[in-house]
Amino acid sequence: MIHLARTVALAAALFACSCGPQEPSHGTAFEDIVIHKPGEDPQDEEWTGEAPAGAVKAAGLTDALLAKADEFRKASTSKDTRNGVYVYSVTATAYGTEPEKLAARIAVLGFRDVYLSPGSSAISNASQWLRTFISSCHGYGIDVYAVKIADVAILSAESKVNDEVNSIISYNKKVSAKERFDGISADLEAHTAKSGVTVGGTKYTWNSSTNYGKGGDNDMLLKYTIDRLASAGQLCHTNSLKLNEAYWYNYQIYCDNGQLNYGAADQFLAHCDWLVTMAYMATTEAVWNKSEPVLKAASAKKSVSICLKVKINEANSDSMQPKGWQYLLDACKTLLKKGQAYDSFRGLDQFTYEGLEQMMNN
Amino acid sequence: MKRLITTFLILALAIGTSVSARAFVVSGKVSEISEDSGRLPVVGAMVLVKGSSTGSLTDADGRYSINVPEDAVLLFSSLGYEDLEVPVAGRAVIDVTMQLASEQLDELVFIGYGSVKKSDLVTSVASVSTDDLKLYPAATAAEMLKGKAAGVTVSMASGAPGSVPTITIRGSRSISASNTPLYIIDGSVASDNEFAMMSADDIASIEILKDAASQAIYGARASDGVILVTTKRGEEGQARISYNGYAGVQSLHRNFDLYNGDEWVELKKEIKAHDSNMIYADDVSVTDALSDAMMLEAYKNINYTDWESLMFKKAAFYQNHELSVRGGSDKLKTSASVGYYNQDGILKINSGYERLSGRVNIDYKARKWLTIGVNSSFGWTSRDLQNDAFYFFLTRSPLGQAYDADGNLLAYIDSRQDKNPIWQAEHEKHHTDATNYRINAFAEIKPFKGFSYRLNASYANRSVEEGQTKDSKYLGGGAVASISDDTVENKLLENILNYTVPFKNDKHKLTVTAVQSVDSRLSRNLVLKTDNLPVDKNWNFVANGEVTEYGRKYSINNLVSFMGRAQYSYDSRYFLNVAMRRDGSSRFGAESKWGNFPSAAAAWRLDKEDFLKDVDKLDMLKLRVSYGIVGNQNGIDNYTTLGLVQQQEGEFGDVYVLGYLPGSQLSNPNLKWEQSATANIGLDFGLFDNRITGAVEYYRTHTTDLLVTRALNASLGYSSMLDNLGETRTSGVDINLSADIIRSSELNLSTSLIFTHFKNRIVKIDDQVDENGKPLSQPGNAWIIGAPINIYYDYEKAGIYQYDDFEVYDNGDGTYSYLLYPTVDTDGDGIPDAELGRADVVYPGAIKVSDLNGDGIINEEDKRVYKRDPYFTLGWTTSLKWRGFDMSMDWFASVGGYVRNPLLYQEEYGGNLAGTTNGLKVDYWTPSNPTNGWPRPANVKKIQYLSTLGYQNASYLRLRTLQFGYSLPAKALKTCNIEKLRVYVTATNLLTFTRVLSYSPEVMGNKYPETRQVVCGVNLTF
Repeated sequence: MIHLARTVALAAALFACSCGPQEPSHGTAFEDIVIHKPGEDPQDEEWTGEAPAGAVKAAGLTDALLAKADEFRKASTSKDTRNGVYVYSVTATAYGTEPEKLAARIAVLGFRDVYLSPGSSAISNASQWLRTFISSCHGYGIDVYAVKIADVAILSAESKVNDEVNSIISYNKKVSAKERFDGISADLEAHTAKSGVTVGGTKYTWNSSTNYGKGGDNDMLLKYTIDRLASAGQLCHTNSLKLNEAYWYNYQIYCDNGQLNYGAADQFLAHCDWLVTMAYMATTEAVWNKSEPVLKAASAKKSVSICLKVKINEANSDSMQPKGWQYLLDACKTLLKKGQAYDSFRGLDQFTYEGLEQMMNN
Repeated sequence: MKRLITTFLILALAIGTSVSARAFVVSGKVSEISEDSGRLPVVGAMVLVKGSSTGSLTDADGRYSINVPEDAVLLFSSLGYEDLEVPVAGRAVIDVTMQLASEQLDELVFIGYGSVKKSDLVTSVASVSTDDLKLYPAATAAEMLKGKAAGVTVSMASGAPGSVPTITIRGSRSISASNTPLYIIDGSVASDNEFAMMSADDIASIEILKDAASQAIYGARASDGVILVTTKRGEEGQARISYNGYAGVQSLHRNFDLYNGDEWVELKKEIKAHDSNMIYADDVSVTDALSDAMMLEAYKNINYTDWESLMFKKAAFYQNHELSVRGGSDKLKTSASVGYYNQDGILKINSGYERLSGRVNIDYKARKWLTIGVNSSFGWTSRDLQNDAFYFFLTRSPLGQAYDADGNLLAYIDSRQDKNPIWQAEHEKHHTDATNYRINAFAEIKPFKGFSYRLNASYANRSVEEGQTKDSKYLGGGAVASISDDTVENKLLENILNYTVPFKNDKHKLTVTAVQSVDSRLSRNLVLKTDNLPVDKNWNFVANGEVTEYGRKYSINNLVSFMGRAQYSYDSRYFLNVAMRRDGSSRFGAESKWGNFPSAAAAWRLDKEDFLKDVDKLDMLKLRVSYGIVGNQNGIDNYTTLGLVQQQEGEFGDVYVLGYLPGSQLSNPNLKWEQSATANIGLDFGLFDNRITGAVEYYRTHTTDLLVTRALNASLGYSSMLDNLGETRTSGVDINLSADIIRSSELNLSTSLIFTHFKNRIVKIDDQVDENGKPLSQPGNAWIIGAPINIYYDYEKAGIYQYDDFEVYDNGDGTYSYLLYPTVDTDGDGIPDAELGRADVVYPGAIKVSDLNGDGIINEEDKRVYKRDPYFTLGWTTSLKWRGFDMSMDWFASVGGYVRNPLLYQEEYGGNLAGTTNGLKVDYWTPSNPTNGWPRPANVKKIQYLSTLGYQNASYLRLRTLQFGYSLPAKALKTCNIEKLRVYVTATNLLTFTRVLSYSPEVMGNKYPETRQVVCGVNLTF
């Protein structure tokens, strides 16, 4: 009987057929929609300057540390800026069973972007730690970017760059929406190549003393860098991922001096959503002096972050950590104020969370 | 016999009895209506006054005269006709038309190695007469079969002249092997190509064996059904010469539009705007949108090209002529025919088909007990092929230029150097010539009553030469030629014994059949390809170039068979058939060389039982049940079971040595046929003096041992092995109904319905199982456990993303950011808290895809099954005859199922909305026209999930044929010694109702289009 009814219904539908495509229903035309104003970030409406609800408790900080975190947040954030922090596997290991706590502490510090390098196996295996951490970050309105494309050895190989992007796309396909990376944080810095050795399949070597000049080795390596970022950018954007790049301030300075054809901030920004200016200097003034040319040159709004080094390593001279917590707070206040004078200023980033936490604890 | 005796007695009484008193003379004419010859006199019919012995006989013109009382009732009777009673009612002239007795209408049906009366049929056999076939004026009888037999699906892959349609019977059963039925022409195994070469006028009948019980006598090759074709033979009497011919035109009709020049520019502007993150296409200049100097010039000068009219004819001619002579004496009967068919392609260049076919059938009764004969046929076809250029008219831009200002053909149509399809067609030739001949000789001995022995020996040869050349001006690899010769030879030797066992009680009937046959098939191929040809000639100059490829293939397979069948009936009421075939095939593995295929069928004529015999409106009611097992050896190539070697070049210093290594596929000595077991139940009926007849059947088929390539552990040294692992189930209903709504001397109205419904599902593919032990699907092959065999497996379009789906932010630089609103509830509180996860950019105008499993992520698990086979098909034929006029119409409906229309999604066919080609015009999304049907066009930004746009409901309703005819009166023709002269006009594919955007719902728009046809024809018989 059901079959008969179905058959009759199908026959009736058939005879109701008309030639040509079905007339679809329509949505709202562009001229009739509500559009948020320029500079109004989707998450800005929620910005209060306070730590996100729930994060304070989840962070599990002592009152003293919570007070420090409040100081830092107030010194480094504003309504119109976004701050990011680099998180490496050492931190992931330290918070091995408490990814939620790490996310909460990052939120309490006012960060809204995380540049995460959890180790390649965590990504390829879609580890539970990683999924929980990203999900927790998203819960606080924090975007998470995978630190990838960080080896200058792949400068000449577009396929290898694409492989790295694809590894994130592949991860994102395995997990639910809230557990996905929001993009990729590239770290393709030609100047970090070993001096005197040809870089990653090219015939060029980086030498900060001798190889500048238009058409010189440094110039050509930066051309390679931009080409690779172009490829990565297209792949990222096609797959709903944002791309930011760690940027050495001297590229812009040498372009301004006419010593490079390639390397200007806008050339990078043609393919990247923003640049993280690695202003690794020990003093506020030096950081600003190196960053300002980049802010001046970048034509896109909110496209340049200033990254302070708070990690200690063998070259402590470029880290602010030795100068102490209060110096860092003052530096942040100064740089935030100066940066906001430029439309291109995006915010203040910290390299790394591990270093920042050390400063808080000291 | 009883009727004969009655007639004889009546006649004797009539002759010996004087006419009664009060004579009132009644005269008139007794005639019959013959479908072939119109009204004919009934000679020697008895006219008797009911209740008396007064009678008369009709003369040579069917006239009679008789003295009767005024209130008499006349009784007309004649052998072979239904008796007729007519009250005189004071009339002086009474003309009557007699109907053939129903037993005469009970025609013979061929069942393979014999025939039975239709009323005695036990298995599921669909029989199609030539008259039904010829209503549709097609090149092949296969096309004519569409909608004529329940359970039979005919599909056209292409409308190109000379295309051979695909026939499937009761759907598919195999997932990897072909589902092609077995063709048997006059007892010999043939191919679909040989069937396609036949002239429809040569065909006496086509029987389709549908259930396993009827198919089992053909064993290992029969599981996809058997099509038995019986050709016409000579008949005793004066030779009849018949000519049937028609000529007509084909034309194109489409239910979609292409972008014209202005619309194409608008499309290009929209694409540019989208790729440039702009909102309005009005802000894009035509120069930027086109980026092509030639096209820009054409746009400025409004010099648009209508590629369709350049490449296609308004009307293409085609014609068919069939001439036959049939006749003979009591000893020698002959049938000879010749047919010619010529079809111009609707495509202007490189398209056309020509066919010449002939047939001679001879039966010679050399002795009373010996008949010898021969069936021979010949066919030749010539076909120009267009190498798929037909769809270029869809995809070439209307701004492209085919000719320069001086009218010279251009190689490239635009500055981007898109090739001119006309140029390419002019510089490429592709042609096939095929010849086909068959000689089937037989001798039949009948040494005593009821026994016959028949020896059949058959040889068939089909040769195809395919030549192709691209001259030096051909763009992208010219000055090349190739030639390929394929020959297939079939040899058959059959010994057939038939014995009808005599019983004293004639209610018992038993016929025993035994068959032994040897069947051999040889195929060989020779191919030569060269390049750098020094001359721009055709493929016959292939030897002048430098050889790039040569090859030779040669293979044989043999089949040895034994078959036994017993057909028993009691009182024409109870029927039982059992049969067994044993096949030994060279294709089978060493451990499975022989296969047994048994079957049994029974039928019960309920109408002959006491409890129904008084139901006077019921003429026939028969219940049939059957069960059988058959095989399909199509999936095994000739030497697969032996293990194939692989050519391998070795380098030893400067010397290259060609060697052979074991292939990557491990041989399987157990490899055997795919096996189908089918149970069938059917009910045949005839009501109201057989005015309504029909049959309803239900069947279930379980197919096992399906051939599947199984992956092997590489450590074995082999990567795969063909094995009998898969399993499918099929079930369905076939219904056919016929009704003579009006049946009178001058007006006849009849109609018939053919209903086909089947469904199938994959039960098992290979030996792979999941953690719960359930068989695993193979989505990559679109083989899904539990789903039908013929499917598409893809995502489902849920619409188009609208601005309403996003929070929109102005970036301040003329661009906008789109934040998708949450639609996924991850914490189960009923409030969406996450956006749908997709691995691509989502923006207003992008394709929205259904999250079918509701997990918040679009991934492989969200693909769905699109069933390709229709839910049911319906053929409806109606014919009306009034005096000499006749009208027939033939409707066909296919309901349910999906097609994936390449014109709606494939770049190659202009469906990707990227502006790289022209294409089918759709109402695409723009910021000002936010439709929900098609996405915003884009080129750099690739549109994701394009294929979801292609799925369309494949349902359609089509008036396939409408025919009007007129037969000149027999009386007028008699003076010219013409037996029959009929003229007619036929239109095909006149009306089509469908949502499938194409030239035809049966042939997709990327294929050579199917045409509408109008023909005028004549049937003439001397």
